[in-house]
Amino acid sequence: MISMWLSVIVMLVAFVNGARNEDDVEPCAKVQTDSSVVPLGSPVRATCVIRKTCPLVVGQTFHIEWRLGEHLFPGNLSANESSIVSEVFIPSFNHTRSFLACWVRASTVQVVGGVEIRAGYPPEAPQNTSCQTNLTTPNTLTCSWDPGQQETHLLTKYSLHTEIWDTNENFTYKLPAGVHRYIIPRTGFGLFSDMKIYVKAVNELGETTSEPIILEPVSAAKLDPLILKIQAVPRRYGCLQLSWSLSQQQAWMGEFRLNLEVRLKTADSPDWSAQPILVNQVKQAKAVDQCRLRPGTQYLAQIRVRYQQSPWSEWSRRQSGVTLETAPTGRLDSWTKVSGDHLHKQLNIQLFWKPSKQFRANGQNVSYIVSGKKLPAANGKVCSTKGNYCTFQLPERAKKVYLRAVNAAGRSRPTEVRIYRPKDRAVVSGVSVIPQDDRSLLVQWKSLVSSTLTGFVVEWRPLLKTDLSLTQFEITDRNKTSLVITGSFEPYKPYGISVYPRFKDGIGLPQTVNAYLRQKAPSMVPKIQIKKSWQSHVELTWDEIPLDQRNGNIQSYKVFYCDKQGTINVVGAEPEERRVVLKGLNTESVYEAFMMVSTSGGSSKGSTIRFKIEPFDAVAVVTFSTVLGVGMSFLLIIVVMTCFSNQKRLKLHFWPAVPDPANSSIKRWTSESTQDSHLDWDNEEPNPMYLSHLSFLEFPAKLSKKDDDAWLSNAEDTSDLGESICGSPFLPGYSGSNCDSVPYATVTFSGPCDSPTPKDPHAYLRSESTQPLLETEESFTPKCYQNMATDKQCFFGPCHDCVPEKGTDPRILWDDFPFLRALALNDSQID
Amino acid sequence: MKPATVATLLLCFLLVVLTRSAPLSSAPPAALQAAAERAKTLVEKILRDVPAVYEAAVTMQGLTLDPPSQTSDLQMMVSSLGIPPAPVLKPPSETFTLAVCVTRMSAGCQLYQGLLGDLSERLSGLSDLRADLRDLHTHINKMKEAAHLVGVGEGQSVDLASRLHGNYEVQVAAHLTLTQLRSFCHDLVRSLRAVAAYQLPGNR
Repeated sequence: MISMWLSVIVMLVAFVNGARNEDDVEPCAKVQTDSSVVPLGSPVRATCVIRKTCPLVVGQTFHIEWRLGEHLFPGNLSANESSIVSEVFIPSFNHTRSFLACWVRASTVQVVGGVEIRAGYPPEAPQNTSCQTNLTTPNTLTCSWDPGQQETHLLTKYSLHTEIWDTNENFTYKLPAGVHRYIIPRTGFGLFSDMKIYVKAVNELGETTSEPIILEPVSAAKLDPLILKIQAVPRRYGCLQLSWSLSQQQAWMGEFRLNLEVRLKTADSPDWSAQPILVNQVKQAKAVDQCRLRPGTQYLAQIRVRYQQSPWSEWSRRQSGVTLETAPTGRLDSWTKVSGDHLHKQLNIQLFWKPSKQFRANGQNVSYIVSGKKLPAANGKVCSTKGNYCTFQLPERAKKVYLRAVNAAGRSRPTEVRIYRPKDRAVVSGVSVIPQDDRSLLVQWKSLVSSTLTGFVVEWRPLLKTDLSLTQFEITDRNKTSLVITGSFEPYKPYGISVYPRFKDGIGLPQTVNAYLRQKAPSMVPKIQIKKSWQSHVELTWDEIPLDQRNGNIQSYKVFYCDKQGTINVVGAEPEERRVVLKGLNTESVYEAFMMVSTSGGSSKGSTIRFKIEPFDAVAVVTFSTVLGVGMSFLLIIVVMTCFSNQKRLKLHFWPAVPDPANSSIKRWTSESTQDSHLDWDNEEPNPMYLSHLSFLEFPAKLSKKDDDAWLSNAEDTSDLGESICGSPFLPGYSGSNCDSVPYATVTFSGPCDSPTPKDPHAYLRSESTQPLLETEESFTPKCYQNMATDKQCFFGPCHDCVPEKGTDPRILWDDFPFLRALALNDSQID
Repeated sequence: MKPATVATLLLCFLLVVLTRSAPLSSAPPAALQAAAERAKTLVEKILRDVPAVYEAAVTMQGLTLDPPSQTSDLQMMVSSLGIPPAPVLKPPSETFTLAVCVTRMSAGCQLYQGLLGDLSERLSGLSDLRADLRDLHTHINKMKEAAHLVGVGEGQSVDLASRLHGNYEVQVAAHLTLTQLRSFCHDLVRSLRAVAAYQLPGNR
């Protein structure tokens, strides 16, 4: 839109310039309006006067039209001798600013002229004109006003006008647009000269003037008072005298009579007196007395002043003063906790007290005296303190003590304190505490109905501090089951709140809870530790959170744990518990676990631990070992039992029976045993007899002659062998070297004993032994007895190296060695 | 005692009392008192403001307001600058009438208003003091009106500006003006206090 209008204006100017160039004196047309600024919504009338000599209209048919922004308006055409006039009438101009242009439509369409029209409203009269004198350096008079609610849409200028009547001086101060405040310098006003002040607002549609105000500048000053001193008046109890003045820069007004207001409060009170005390027509030099105050009490005071109808000053800085002291008055509320010392027949007393509503200390330094006698006497004093409690001992028969408040001016009447014994009766239950606001807690409890119940005592103290003076109490009657306790409770700090029942004859058992004004997440989270693990279980434990780091009542402990796959599990524990057992854990996974501790104010997360269940933990090993041991024991017992029950069969299985050669006949043995030996081989049955001993010796294939001789000539070797067997200590007929001599034969093989059928003939060695042969029931494992390091000895086995020299008759041998006949039979069988 | 005697004595007593209570002089009108009170307040304000104004305006070493510098050394400067002495004020009396007193007050105010006006062109911080003097002059004129003290001549005017050639002269002139003004104000306070208590001559 703006760009369009700019282009229109540029064209307009170019056209006008062009017309000037042609005619050199006058423009082609001129647009006129009654007023370029009109009230918004009012009619607008404009004329476009076109010279008849204008080339646009000379000798052409033309048409004149009007354009207001995007809208076309028809014009009334008329003509006179020199010009053509088009008049347009706009019934309601609703733009705050617009351009009205005159167009000539002939062979071409041209703008021949235009005019800017603005619309708005006349200014409203400025409201709420006010002025205030500033008597600091420099002295000034500041006036301000409200411009009015309606937007004028036109530039509205404001000017401040003053007329000083004493000097007949008038001043006008013009302000920049939009500024509705002006500071008149000292030269523009007289302090004690009445002046008229008003504001004028002007724009293109008119001007208005505010309601004038008439003031004496000194009466419009906001003063600055201060309290010099507050002091007690001698012999006037309950009175304070205030000396005050104005600030240094305003001290010259000392002779003025000012209105003054005083407000007071006691030093421990949060609020000022509701209604300030007004003192009229007072001079600075004169002190102001305030009476009907509490004796011996520190008061804080503030004042404010004004001169005639000037605005009140701000309240001065506070000053304090103390009234004269008198003796304390009123009674003290007390709370006694008694515990018995039966050994010494004495009572341990904790006596707490606080001022009742009627109590007045009437002095600054108040101390308290507890005595056993009603009349003040030094010998009856059991305690004297400036605090709010006392601990002392009394004889068991003591029934009451007396409490007095004392200050410099005197002592109060005694307050009787009865010594109630503790009773083992509990009627209070369900104590709960709900925070009310930043300073109070609501304590609720339930009580059993008891005819002797007279009321309750609610006692509270900070648990993190041991100072007994911080113990506070409140006494209620029997009908109450809730109480709002107020004090300087700190958030996140624990308070122990106890509710004691009061009976006619003593104090019952209390119920105590821990309470917090506000709770938040604990400051620390205990470190979880693995106490033990077994199978797929792990027991985790942790330490208790220190009281000062709990920040609230612990609601729950939760242990989160997850395996490698990220499966998260949660196990919770009650606030009083400090252990959880994680079950169903996989022995092959590494687990991560952390603890979250919650109060009603938030939760804290602890550090993460990793653990893995061992497949054989100590318990499992012990269990497994026990089971295995028991099993093995049973097995062994069974085996042993079996052995005993089948002793003979076993013996025969493991140790073949060797027959007694003395009771054997080779013929019978041979004839009978041939078949038996076959059976033995096949059935692995022990051979019941046949040979006392059979050794297999392996000779190297090329054994030297010398070696053979040595071997053959050495009869002691076999003798040793025979002796070793014969000398078995397990034999029942063992008799050492005195056993009967028994003939033996040693068969020597040239090949290995485990080789297939030997090709070479065996060698047989004869020997004798006086030692008995093994009994069948003896378990004896023959050893592969070796005479030479590299050779095997084969007892009773054929050996080609041992074959007799050629030419020797074998039958002779068989005759000499009847046992070997059996071997020969066996060889043939094997072959 | 006879009743006639008593009546005679009582009449004589009343005559004496009435005769004694008849005004020998009248109290000043309230307007005069009020104007004098206002004027006194303004003078006290000027007296409190002068030290601060002096400290801001006079910066030349050797010139002090408290204690005042030796004016004897500056006699030549006083004459060359053409600063006249302040009008002499006394408590109004039969010889020093209220009209003369108030006229001299007014003349003094005019004098120092003019001097401060000339100095204000060369120094800053004097305009408030000058405005106070203007207000004081206004209220002294109100006193005149209240006491019907008309036809009394106006004070002299001094062309100080033309003699302030350099800063030295400006500093000395400011020192002399403020020192003399303070002294004049002290006299004014005393005179105004006397005016407030002054008993206008009345009809016997």
